[in-house]
Amino acid sequence: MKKRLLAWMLAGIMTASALAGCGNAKNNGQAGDVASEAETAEGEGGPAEAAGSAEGGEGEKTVITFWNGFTGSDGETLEALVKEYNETNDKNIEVQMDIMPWDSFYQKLATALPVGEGPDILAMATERLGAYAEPGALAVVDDIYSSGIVDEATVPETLKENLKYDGKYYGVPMNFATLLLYYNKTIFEEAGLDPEKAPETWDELEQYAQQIVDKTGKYGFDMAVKDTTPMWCIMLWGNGGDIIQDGKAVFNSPENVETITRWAENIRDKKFGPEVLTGGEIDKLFESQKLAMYFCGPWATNGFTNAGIDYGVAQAPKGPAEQVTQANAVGMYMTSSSQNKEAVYDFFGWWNSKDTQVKWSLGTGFPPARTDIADDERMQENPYIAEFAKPANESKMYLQQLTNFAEVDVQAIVPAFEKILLENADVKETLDEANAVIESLIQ
Amino acid sequence: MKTKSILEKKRERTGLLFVMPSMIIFTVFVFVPLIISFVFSLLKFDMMFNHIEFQKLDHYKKLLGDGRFWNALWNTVCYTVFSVPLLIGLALIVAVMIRRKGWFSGFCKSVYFIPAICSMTIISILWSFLVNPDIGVFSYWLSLLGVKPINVLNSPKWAMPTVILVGIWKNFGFNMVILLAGLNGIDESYYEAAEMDGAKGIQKFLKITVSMLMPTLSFTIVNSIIGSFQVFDQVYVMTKGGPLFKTQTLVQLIYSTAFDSFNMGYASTIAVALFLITFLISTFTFKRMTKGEEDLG
Amino acid sequence: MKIKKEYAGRYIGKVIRIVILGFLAFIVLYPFLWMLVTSFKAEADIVSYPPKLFSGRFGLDSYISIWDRIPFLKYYKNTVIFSLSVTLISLLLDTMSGYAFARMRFPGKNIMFLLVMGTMMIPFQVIMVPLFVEIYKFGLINTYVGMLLPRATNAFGIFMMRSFFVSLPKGLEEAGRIDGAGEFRIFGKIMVPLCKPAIVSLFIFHFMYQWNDLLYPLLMTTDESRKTLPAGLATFMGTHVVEYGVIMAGACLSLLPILIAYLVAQKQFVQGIAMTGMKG
Repeated sequence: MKKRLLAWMLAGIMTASALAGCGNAKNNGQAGDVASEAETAEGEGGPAEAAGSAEGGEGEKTVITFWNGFTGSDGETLEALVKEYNETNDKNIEVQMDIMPWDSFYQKLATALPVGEGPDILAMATERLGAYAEPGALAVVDDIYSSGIVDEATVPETLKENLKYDGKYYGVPMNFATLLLYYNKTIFEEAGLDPEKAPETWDELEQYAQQIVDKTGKYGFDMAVKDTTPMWCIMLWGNGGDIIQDGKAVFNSPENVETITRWAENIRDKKFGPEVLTGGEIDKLFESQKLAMYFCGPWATNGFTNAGIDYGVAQAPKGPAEQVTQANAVGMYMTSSSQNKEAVYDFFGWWNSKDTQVKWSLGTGFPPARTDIADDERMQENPYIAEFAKPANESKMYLQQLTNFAEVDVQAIVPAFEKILLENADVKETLDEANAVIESLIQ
Repeated sequence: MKTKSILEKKRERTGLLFVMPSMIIFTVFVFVPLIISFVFSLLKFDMMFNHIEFQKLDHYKKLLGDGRFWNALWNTVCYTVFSVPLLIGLALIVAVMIRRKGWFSGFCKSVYFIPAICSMTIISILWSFLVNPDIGVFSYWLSLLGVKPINVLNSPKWAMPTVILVGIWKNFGFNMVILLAGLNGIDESYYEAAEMDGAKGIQKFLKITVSMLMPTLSFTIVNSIIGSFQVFDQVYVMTKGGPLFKTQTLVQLIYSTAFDSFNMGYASTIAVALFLITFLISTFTFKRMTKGEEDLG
Repeated sequence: MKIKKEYAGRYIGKVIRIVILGFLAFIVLYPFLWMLVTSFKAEADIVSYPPKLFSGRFGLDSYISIWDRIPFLKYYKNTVIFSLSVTLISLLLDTMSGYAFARMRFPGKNIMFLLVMGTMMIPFQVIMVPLFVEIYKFGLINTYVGMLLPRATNAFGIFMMRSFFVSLPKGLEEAGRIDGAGEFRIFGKIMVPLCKPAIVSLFIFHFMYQWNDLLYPLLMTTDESRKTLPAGLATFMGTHVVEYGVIMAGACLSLLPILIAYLVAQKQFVQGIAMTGMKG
């Protein structure tokens, strides 16, 4: 009787190990697998000069893993570039990339990093850097700059500081983008506005938006609050305000109260647009030609062009204090558990080379993460890139250098805007409250 | 106090052998992690599991005074209180209506179950699309009826009802199929007897049905309660817990504490609390379910 | 007169019933119709207002885009291997345990059953980090065994099989024992053949659960080549740009296999649940 049970169990174990074996077998055959599949996944942006495949050299292959959240169309360009690197690099390095949605990405990091099962390279928004650098999950990469593998001088000024934590470099640029004002020329014409002239100041912006709302019944201007790069901070900065300054929360400053009161009234009471939107919603609103103006990054250009929308991009309207826009960036970092420093550096260097940056830029619409190629001839192909590259040094970044960026954003800032816009809460009180929350979170 | 025969002992051993593989797996992959989770709740440590500090019961004290926790608990309870009766009520009524054989019943039965085989993620995305005030067909219909389309997922008032309705839409087919199975198990003679007693009308019919169906019903109810206390996917995809934390449920709070705030210790504390609450509520019903049933040897 | 009235009443009742059931069927199917139609539309037509189900051009662009952007067949294969093997192993263990809990006597039975039921109350998010660390310590990260073992048995399955075995007539084992069969033979030769419909139902439950699961398989491997379909399709929910057409096409593709499985096994499936009765 027992024998029979044993047989049952053995059968179970054997099935399990057979599967494991089949897994291993696949592991071995994987390199070929991936290559052939990458071929089918090849888009038109593929590298023509990469035809001479370097497959043959089965010597000491260094495999480095790279996790990121570049889903959607950016991921296609990224995959094509990584494939090009794998085929052309002379050090027999293979980058194995795993693209997943950002939230899965952060969950995987939380489980994999503590046990040293993380990737060699990870890419994420610079505002997340502190959370990972502080507990020692990432390696310091000062020497990649000192050895000249990545040229420090070409890194945009705004980005430079935010690739550092505690004064040390932890990352190299992956991409860098500024937000501009997108405007729909068709709606402008409908409203009797000059489609070639975008608003240049806050007053003009208000006037245009009002005219659009009155004449066309469409939405004039709006800013997203959630699940995106926070567009409101462009307004805060434009009026001389900020959220955190020198390690102290200044969210409830008189300037901010003034700014938020003004724009909340515009959006909520004068019906410039729907009250609280997510990044995805506001994009769709513009794409469906119901919204005339909003701030967005370069990633939207390809989609809007394909959707046949007649639109223009312009610098963010000048605020009472200064003209400024928001920048956001993704950095590439090496984990502290990585054993392949040389290979990782080689890839970092290649990524930040002129050639790669031009290709990345053209493929995604992002301006290059180097300041010295904005007027490269090849960049003419996409007229928007130059426009997005222009404010590189006059832009600011949102909530950098914190160890708990996400908490501050989700617990304090988003709810404050929701309260004001959805529940008509008193601006000063709400900001005071939010300020206290921020203060408690950042010390 | 009779002594067990050898044969009986042998059978007992066999019984143990039968459940052993499952029990070992549960122990290693559920109970041990759960205990580790409990230990986590007494500790404070950073993302890399360094700088471990023993907190005693500080996290639990913090929990009691944490507005976010009570808010999430309240939301979870609201979700449960509204969704479970609606869900089971609808499933039961439909099950009774669909009971009779025929191609139409068969067709409806198959159709109603389709949402149950989809992933909640897909369904949440689909519904977010359909209720979107600018491109969604449902809000368009509302606008035809003269209701100004609002962004329901962004309204402190309507976000929770929407989340609840989507949950019901997905799950009622599943519960209906189970209840239907229970209904089919009821002997026709009960109805005949009731009819002879002069019982008429839907009310009486339902009364018999409900009482005969009690075991199946309580299973679906407990199962739904447990599911409601763990509601996460649709909230996460459709509202991320917003607006203004009005749809933040306990599991979502655990999630955001662990992965936005990197406070694994405190997240575990909320998790332990959630487990205890669920355990208390469902044990009560489980007890009722197992009561009166013969223990087969 | 009376009969006529009754007849009319029945007729009206029938109509009401058909109207209600039909309306519900519409509510359930209509979103799926949108899902299907949207997957064939161009993005510009999807976001046009007012929304019309059939408008604009139709094409396979979204499907082609999926095919071009992810190694679809590989993910499909991975998902099938993962779902199928978890389902099969779990079916075996669930049936064994369910049988023992229903029809055998052994010390600690009630407490064990309570513990098993208790596992249903633990959200995965609660144990996921410790579980991962554990699998890591066992050296099972990135192996199929590491992926399968934690899912090799399931409380719902045990509960369902137990309900089924409870409902079988009492004398079954006795007959077997009289014939001199051992407990394992009784289980294998008498009981298991009887529970075919229940097993089919449980198969579908398990399979659809594993098939749809995103987080667990994604978390338990750090190796891109083990990615499953939901994880692959999740990559289309772009960070910046939402492409409804592609997402809906992906949803249709992932729904198709389980829909077919369900429709094929439907009869047995419902019958199986009926036979368990799901009695406590």
